[in-house]
Amino acid sequence: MVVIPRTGKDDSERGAAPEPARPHLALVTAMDVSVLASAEPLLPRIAAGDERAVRECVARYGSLVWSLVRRWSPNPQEAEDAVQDVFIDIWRTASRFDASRATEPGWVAMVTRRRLIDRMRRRQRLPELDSLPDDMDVADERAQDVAHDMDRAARIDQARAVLRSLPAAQRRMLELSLLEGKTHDEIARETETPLGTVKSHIRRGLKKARDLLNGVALGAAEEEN
Amino acid sequence: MDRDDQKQVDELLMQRVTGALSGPEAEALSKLVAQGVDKDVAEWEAAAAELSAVLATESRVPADELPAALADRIVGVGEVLVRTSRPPSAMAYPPVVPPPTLSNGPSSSASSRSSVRSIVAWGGWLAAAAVLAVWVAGRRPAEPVVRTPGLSAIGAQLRDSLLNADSSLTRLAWSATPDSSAKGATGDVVWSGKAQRGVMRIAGLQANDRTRWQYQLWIFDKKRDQRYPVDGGVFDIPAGSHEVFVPIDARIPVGEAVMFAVTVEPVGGVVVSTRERIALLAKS
Repeated sequence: MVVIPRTGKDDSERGAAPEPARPHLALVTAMDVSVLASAEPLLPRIAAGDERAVRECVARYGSLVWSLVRRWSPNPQEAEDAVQDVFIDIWRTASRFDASRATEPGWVAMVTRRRLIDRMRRRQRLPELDSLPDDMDVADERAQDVAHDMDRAARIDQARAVLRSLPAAQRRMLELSLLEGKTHDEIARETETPLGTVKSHIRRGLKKARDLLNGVALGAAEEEN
Repeated sequence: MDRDDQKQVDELLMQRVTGALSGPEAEALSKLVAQGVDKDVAEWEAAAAELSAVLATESRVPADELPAALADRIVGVGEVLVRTSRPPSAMAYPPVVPPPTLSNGPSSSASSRSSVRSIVAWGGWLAAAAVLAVWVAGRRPAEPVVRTPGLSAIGAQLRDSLLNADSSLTRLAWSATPDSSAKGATGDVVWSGKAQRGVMRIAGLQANDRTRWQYQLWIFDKKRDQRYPVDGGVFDIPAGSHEVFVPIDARIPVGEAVMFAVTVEPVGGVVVSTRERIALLAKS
């Protein structure tokens, strides 16, 4: 029988391995979304094959992804599976990220949401949806011009402005839908609001965000809604 | 489109991006997409994503911190995926030849530059898929894995390509230890020092319960202190598998691999093994 050498030391002693320790992810996590949006994008480095960017990406966006995944998932095992699937999607589609058209945290959130929606629909036995383009493209030349010029942090500011401008009840419904992953029926029950009203509130909130991100002024966006 | 029609479209778009479309509604939206509202879908999705990012960060609580062990697992897999899908100019290891059935280009033009590039690109993802094969299947053996077609074939392909590309690589047969997990286990390990890549071929190793324990590979480097073997990554053996191919994810460069050991460890692996349970050994 081949004998593997034992060191005779306990783990704490052996833990002082000669290799430099990698930073613990929790220590390098940035969480303010403006900071995340303004930081140099990591996805192009990942797309270029820079494996060092993987750890940075998980440190930077791990909490963002996990905060969505754990709320949307029915149990911890599902959450663990989902978060790993999300990051695989991120690694695979990193080359499609276009910093001129979306913030990096927004793009990461989009990948996360797609995966979570797929999983939710499978659980509910709903039919699969047609796949969407991967580049968060914008609608027309007017919108493209605005989006290209819009500073990444400004997009985050616009999203914040939308949330601040909403009545509390409407914001709560958006939170329950986007953050918690609740179905419209569940939101209606939880908020004791008619289903039609729930849908209407969420639709208006999202439409306002869409308009603002496309360069429509806040006042005009509210008027349109 | 009048105001009512627009409202109806908006309602469908909202339901689309919140995952709430029923079957008939999805069909209705598909027809609209064919008429040119696909950009609207993307806009609504972008809006939902940006709002989600803000909500998630503003509502953050301590429980939103990604658990460290899970993060390490994600990083481990991600590094392999990114490394193996690196663009050709940046690759530090031999290209991998894909299975013919997955090749996009005409087989007769395999010698052309574009075909070679295509093959290399495919090869990277095939290697990555092999990682996922074992990893995903290990996570949920009962659920079909649709992401990785021909899992064993893909792993075998990576191994074959290393064998073909590097005449100086190390190839060692596994010796099963008396550990209960390894009764009757066989296989081998190939390791290319040039490519810093390798693949374990394992048959007959006990399937692990990944909620309780996992296997971990250790690589003994002749140029390093033997008390501190290189962590080769944790892996799972799915229930019902006959033979699995596990690409090796060495965390640091390996100078001269002289021995490989598979140990049984707690979920997520350990930094330094106590070596209480050694399942497999391969020694030069």
